[in-house]
Amino acid sequence: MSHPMLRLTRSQARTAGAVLAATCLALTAACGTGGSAAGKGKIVEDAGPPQDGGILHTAATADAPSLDIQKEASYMTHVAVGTVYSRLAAPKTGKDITYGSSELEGDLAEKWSKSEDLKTWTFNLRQGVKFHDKPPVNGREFTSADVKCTVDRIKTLPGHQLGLVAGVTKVETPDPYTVVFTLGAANTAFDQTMANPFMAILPCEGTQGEFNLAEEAIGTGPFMLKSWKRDQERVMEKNPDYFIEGLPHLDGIQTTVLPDAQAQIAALRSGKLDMISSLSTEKRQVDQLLSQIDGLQLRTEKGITQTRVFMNAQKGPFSKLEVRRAVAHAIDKEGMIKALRSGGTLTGPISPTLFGALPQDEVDGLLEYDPEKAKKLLADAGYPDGFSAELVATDGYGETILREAQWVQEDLAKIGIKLTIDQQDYATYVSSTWPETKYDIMYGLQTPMLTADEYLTSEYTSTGTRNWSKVDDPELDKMVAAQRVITDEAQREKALQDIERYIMENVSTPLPLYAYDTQTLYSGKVHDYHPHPDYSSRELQDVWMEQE
Amino acid sequence: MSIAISGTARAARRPRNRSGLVRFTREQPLGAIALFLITLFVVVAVLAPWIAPYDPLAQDRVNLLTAPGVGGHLAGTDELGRDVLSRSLYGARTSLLIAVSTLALGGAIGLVIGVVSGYFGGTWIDSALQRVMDALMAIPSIVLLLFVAALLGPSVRNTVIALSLLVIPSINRVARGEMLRIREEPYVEAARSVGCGTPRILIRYGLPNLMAPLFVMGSLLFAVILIAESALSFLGIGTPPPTPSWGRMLSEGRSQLEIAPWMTVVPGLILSVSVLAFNLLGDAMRDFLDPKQRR
Amino acid sequence: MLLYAGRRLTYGLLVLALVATLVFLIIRLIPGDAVRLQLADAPGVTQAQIDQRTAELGLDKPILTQFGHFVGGLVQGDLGDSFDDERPVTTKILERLPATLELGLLAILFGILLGVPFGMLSAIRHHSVVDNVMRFLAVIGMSLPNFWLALLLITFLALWFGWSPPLVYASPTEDLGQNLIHMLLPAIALGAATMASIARMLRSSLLEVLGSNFIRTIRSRGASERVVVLKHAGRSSLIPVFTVLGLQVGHILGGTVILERIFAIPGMGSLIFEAVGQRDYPVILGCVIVYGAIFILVNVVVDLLYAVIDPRIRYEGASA
Repeated sequence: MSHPMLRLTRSQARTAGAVLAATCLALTAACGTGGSAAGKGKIVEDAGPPQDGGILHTAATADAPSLDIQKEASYMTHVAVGTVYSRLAAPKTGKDITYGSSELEGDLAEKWSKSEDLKTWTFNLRQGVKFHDKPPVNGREFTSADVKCTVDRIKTLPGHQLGLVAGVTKVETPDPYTVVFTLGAANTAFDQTMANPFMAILPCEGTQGEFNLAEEAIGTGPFMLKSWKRDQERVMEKNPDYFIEGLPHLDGIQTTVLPDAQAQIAALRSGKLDMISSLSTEKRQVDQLLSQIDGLQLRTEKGITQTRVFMNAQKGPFSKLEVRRAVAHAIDKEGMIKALRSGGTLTGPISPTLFGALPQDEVDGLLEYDPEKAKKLLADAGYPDGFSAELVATDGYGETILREAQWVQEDLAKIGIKLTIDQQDYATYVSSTWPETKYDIMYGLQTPMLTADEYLTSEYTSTGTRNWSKVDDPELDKMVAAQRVITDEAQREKALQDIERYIMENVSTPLPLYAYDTQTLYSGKVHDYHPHPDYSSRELQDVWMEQE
Repeated sequence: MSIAISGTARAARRPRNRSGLVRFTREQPLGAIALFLITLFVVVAVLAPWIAPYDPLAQDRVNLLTAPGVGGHLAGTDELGRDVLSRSLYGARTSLLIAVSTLALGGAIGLVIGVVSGYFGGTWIDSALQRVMDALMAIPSIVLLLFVAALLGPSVRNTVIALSLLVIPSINRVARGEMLRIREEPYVEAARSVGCGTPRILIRYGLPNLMAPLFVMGSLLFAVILIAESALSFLGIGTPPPTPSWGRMLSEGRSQLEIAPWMTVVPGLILSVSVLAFNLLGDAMRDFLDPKQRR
Repeated sequence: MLLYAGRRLTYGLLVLALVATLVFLIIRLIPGDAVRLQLADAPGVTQAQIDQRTAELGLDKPILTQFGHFVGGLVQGDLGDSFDDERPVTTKILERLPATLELGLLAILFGILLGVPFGMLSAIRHHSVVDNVMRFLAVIGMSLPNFWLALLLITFLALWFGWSPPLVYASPTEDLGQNLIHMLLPAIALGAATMASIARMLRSSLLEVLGSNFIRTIRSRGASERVVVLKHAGRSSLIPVFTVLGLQVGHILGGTVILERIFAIPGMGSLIFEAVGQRDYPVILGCVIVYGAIFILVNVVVDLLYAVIDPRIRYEGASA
């Protein structure tokens, strides 16, 4: 509201403001808000020019174990402080951008270039970017030195991000606004690497231990961390000096930790929450909420998290390829999606939205539900009458995974594989059973990755850091190594797809089933929410709320 | 979850006359109703395979999450198309199995500890045993169960082991108190002076006297076990899927509470009524066996 | 008396030491190790890094050494540092303790406020319809699992009345009103069983007193039933109610674990739940010791008060 109120005394202005507000309210009530009449759950696009102000209330099912975005691999941490930090480059988001698109835009870097041999990458940084005004950084200017500090720190920490920058042999800072990376081997997509959510640029004060990165977050992002009460709430406030003019629109974001889905739904109903995501995926629940809460918007996205059947390739009956392929054909995946998920897409080893994913019809064929074929494969493997085994699953991912495990149990029983379910707590599952391959067959999820190479290298090569099904196929190792240096996009895509076909037909573990859809429900007054699956939450800088 | 048993219960004597049941019904109508419900519970549990309309594990994939009455499912189906009524009936079987085994295991251990402790009342054996029992009681039951279940993993057997830890101290307390009392009785003294061995005295005179207070305690513990089992399963560390158990059904249905209330209301109701029945019966038996409460 | 108090306290400490030992041993037997869990989602973790972290946390030492270290710290009130965020366990627990205590006290308050009148009414109208209804209500309170009651309350209050508890827990010093509203539902869910126990216990002890010669005498002098119950019988029957509270402490402490989780209350219950999930040994151990200490302390206090009120109990009370 920018109404001219010239030459009024303060009390006059207050009265005038109140009258105006009342008029506005009456008007809105008379005309009805744009979105609520336009069909249940419909997302209101073009809700008008963004308005500034308001606090967005969201919920999380669990809190971040620590705020250290690089030391802590949990995506909970990335969701928690993603908006505090910036990266050199970031995936574009917006109304016209496909969900999960890998198209990049400059974040802290204005532009970047690569050398002919793809081994030298030069990033030109924005000038005049200020860190948040919090001690000990106190709003000083961001420079290339901070990039170097960050990359140097990453190289000393274990974990996923180390693999990402392993190829960097040298980081040079010829001037405060230029960073030059020298790589040991050619890399066509190093800009994608630097856009990974792990690559948040920290201030040197943080990397040098002047403050504790596990409990404090100071960056250059659209929001500043105001307070963090562990396992209770995280409060973000607008960064007034954000380097993108006019952003963010929100005055702040308040995230409450509410582990119970029913409690989240109750709070959405009572208007205490503006947005909830990845709740119970039950369609009827969502439909009921949509019909009861006026103007509630539903955003469904093709997810990238895959459900998997992990089978031990070295030990037990599943070490036989035919048995593993029988499993692939014995499970009614479409029925499972229809019964237990709000939607989903059958997938190969690389999630369907990523570069290099297999064409959908081919995936559907490779995973076709065909119990007869499965029985035959099982007989070929020497088990015409089936066998018994234990199926490991954890309740750590929620009730849905356990239901799916029971679905798998029933389907495999039909071809003669009699499974008993070994339900484990998340800690045992993730710290022992999975990485140490203490299972014959296991049902669960794979943490989403952002590039094809991440999936193939970590899960399917014999030396992969997540090769926890004991895959050992020299041919496959060679193929995966070879695709990494192909510079031509079309050729690389073909190579990646060949690998996937090979995996489905000759490895078949970890066996991907489908990537399930994710849902976000948000109030009718929230607009321009265009999420990206990278967990950085950067898209919240564009979100705005209708002011009353 | 400790249970208060009023000190007066120890004055209990088993009614010897045949008309006991009739008198019980007249004096404790609620208790009689409870007894009827419990009989029903046991009958259902034992006969579940013949009573239940469907296999509790069969997934009717044409009728997923259907309301009661649809597709021949009287109490509706769950997300996997399993018949809620059949699962609830089989749940009684699981609960009965767990409760009886727990009472048998925990009761036996508690009884032995209590009787031995009571017999040696006042000696170091007594204090040592009782300090361990006190330590077991001092840890909140859920915390204790959380540990044991996480340690052993979920299975019916491990649930029984975890729940037994709840039962042992309570049974021990009753048994010990009763032993301390009868130890001083003249006929025990007499038996000892005649030269009866310790074990003989315990079995011959100790156990029969214990039966009445143990019945009361057992009934109340039964209710506690039913709740604790459902709590364990609710937390995901009790009876593993797909075994039908009331606690599991409650936890499976909680996210569908708004849209498919039958998934939880049916097992929730049966669970609550069963717990209620055991509580009422325990209550009524205590009143019945305690002459002071008869005006 | 002083001697008795001293003996009770010493004995309490002994039991506490037993609790600590028991739990220390149990925890070390649970599969799943803290180090890998911390680095769980991070591929590329080398064995050397795991070893380094293990050494940092002291997990590579023999179990007896670890235990000795733990006992040494315990004597000085030091429960060690959390594996998770490396903050002192004592600090973490002290942050969370007030919420748990508040929830427990409110649940007890709820139990007393409803349980006492229910029990009295039941006893006065012995064997009447009112008595049976009250007894029935009381037993229902014991029969509904508290987590189940809590979920029903949350879901249907929101569905029917559009009301949900406040999202963020506010400590009583920050905002007492919001704090109490937040605590309302969990306190009801948790206190229902306490209410039931008190009502049952009060009923039976009142009946016992009402049947005694002393009361018969008073009654024969023409005192009204109300006066008899409130003035004469009530006072002496409140002692067993006290016992119930001592016994209910365990139940209430246990109940906080699930309820704090459902209602997002930052108490010790949610702390220990998280700690078990993360195999944060020092925190689990610390929590159990504090839980045990509360339980034992309350029971010692109950015993002592008991001994003050009725000296005859002194001898037997020692074994309770």
